[in-house]
Amino acid sequence: MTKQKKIASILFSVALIAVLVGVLAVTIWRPKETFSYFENRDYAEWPSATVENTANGEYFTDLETALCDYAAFRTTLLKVKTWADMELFQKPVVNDVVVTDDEVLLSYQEYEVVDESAIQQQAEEMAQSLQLLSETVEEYGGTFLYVAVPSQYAYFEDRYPSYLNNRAEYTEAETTAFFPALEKYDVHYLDIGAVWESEGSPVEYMSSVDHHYTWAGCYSAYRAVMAELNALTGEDLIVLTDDDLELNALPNPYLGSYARKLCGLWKSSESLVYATLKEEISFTRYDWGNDTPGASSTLAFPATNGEDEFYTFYMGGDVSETIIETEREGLPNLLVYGDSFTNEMETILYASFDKTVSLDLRSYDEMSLLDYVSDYQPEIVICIRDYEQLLSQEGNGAVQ
Amino acid sequence: MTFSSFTFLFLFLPILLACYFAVPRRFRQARNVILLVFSLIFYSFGGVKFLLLLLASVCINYTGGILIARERWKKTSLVLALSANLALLVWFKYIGFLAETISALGFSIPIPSVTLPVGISFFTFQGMSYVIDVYRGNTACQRNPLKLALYVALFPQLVAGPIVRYTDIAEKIDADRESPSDFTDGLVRFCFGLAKKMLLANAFGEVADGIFGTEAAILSTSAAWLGGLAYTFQIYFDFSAYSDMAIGLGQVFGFHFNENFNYPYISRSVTEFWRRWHISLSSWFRDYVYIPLGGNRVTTWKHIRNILIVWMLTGLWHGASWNFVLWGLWYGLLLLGEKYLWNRLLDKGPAVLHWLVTMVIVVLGWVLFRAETLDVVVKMFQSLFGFGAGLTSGQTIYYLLEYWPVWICGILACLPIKKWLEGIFREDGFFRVWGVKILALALFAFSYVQLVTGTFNPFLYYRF
Repeated sequence: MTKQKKIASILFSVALIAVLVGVLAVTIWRPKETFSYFENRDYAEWPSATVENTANGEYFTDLETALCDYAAFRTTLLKVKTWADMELFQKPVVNDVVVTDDEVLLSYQEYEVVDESAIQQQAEEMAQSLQLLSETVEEYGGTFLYVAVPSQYAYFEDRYPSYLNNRAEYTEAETTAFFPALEKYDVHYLDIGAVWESEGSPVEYMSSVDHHYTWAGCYSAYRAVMAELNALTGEDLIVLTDDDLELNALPNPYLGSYARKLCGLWKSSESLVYATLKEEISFTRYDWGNDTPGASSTLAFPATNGEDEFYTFYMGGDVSETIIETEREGLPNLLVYGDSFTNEMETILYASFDKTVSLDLRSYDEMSLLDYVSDYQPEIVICIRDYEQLLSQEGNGAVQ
Repeated sequence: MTFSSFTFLFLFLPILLACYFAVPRRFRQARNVILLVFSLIFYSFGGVKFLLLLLASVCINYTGGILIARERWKKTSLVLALSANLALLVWFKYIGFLAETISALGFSIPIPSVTLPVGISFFTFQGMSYVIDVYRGNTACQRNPLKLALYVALFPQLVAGPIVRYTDIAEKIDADRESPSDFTDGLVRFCFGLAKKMLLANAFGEVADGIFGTEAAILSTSAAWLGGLAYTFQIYFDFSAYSDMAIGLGQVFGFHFNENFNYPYISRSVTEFWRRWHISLSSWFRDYVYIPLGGNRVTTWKHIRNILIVWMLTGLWHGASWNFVLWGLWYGLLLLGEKYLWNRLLDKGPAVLHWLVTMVIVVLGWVLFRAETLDVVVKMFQSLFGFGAGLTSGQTIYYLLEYWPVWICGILACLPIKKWLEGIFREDGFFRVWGVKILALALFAFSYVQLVTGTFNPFLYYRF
């Protein structure tokens, strides 16, 4: 072996072994975070060894998962890899986010077969289920309104590259099956997609970095909902107008769900916009089924202007049960349920009601929706679901 | 435990290296004991209960070797040892398949659920080769059970090969085998193998899984071929990466295992392909099944029988399922075709055409191999031959654009570029002295990024 070869061999071996030992040392000794910020998930828990899980090998599998989660420099490397995929390799889809468009981030959709007969059947079943709820509400003199909001992928379906699935075929099959089914079973519904289309489908109605609507989209949907409720009930419910609201934009960077998946490396000028009432309505708020008053606001303001903000700003995110009492007995009571699209609208919806209850059936499990409605008997019941969830009987689709 | 796991790379390996090389080399047996203990720990990561199975295999072959060496009852001892080995293999690997097949024939019998222990096909075949070699007088029997256990359980080749013959490493067990150059070269080889696995095999696996999982109604011809190609790359990089890492690790501890792959995708015939693919398995079947059956020095019909038996067994070795049997027979028939029907054609026409035809055959073979059910076989073959959802689809474009660096690197890595470079660069030049090692470190770093940020990290041959 030549001298140079010997030096190279020694240096290589020392460097590699130093890396092996160094990575382990940093992994063991570095401060332990338990949450992956960009992946929006908890890290795996360290497993405990038992006779059973050691014998069948599960302990070692769980240990490997935990070690990879807590591995040295993981968050930094996640950013480096995301950057390389986006900038260096120009991948069309990075971390399940479509990044080919210069202005909008979209969710990657698996290629799928659209089974129209299955969709038709699901639509029938869902409509029947909602009919049951609607009849229960009407029995005690209340009004039920189902609100369908386009998902971001559906609203921006023409922004997908032609070779990716934009679910247009599915959306078409779903809406053409579901809305007639709701009519057939006498369930009042409002398709916000049609409302927005009549307004020219403004691009600013949907977030460019998140799967939810923007304030503009939410406000448009709010006005349509309130107009529909007034038409259905013949009442004159308070409808907030531009004159009643003061619009503000959070100075914080808005890291929507998609930009977050890209580790904040995709820069957007979009801000979180919110509305406050010019004439405040005082209320008491209770969360998580707790009788103790909770937050005094419908908005969860960040501690500093520098930190990233998310859609959870509205109502503080998904809460299983929120009650807002305004002590205005002349006004009707409201129950609104649905996925996170409800949160943004709730920040002003309470202004029209005495008591507003918001349920998220993905985490609320004390009683069924039907039992809750029978117990509480609100004058108005609104369900807000996005196109992705219209036919799902899981979570907020579970009536009984 | 796999080589491409955090546990192996940053816990097991450094601790083993520290313990092993802390012992002075003159204490050879102490080093061997350390290697054996760590090999058993390595295996127990797949489930401590399976360690008993491995030890049972060692006991069977140790006792078998001793009894065979006594000359009295030599043949009976061999038959008993082989039967015991095969009984373990049949119970743990094939009993469910056998029961299902018998049930399908109308005989209602309970179907036992037996977990497949990792590496059972590999260490069973190693054990059998040992007792057969003792019987044939190719090697002396090993009277020290710890040394035989070290041969069977030696962790680099324990769970996914290459299938090492006892005769290949017998002398090394007692020899002063380690050297600084072997240590470095072994680590370099390991780094390249790790990168092959983490950067190429896993990425191709994502493509293959995506396409094989696509429903027939939307699977286009181009996507089906792309999926077949992706799996063709995945299985090669996955398995050859493991062999690279195994050979590299063996070298670190002074063992020199034979090569298991020799650029199989440059083959110009199926016969050549099988001379280059999983060489340790092909040569095992050649030496311990094909030649004892008479090889090709028999009548044509018996030769055909021998080929079909060997290839059906090769298929079955890979998995207890009919698609593996079909896959084995597919190659058996093709090899017979090359031998008896179109052998003269192989000498004619451009080489690129032979290569292309061979690759089409290989890709189709891997599609058969990958398909887990008959439905998937039908779906894939329909689409491959133009009876699917059109000729092309967005899915094809997506998988090309999303994985373009991997496609390019994959194609290059199938070619004998290393050999070409060795012809270009001088042995004592900068590239071969420094460049390769710097590249190995860089590849290790990229592999680490992939390991801790990715979630897709299966090992295909781990289950065989």
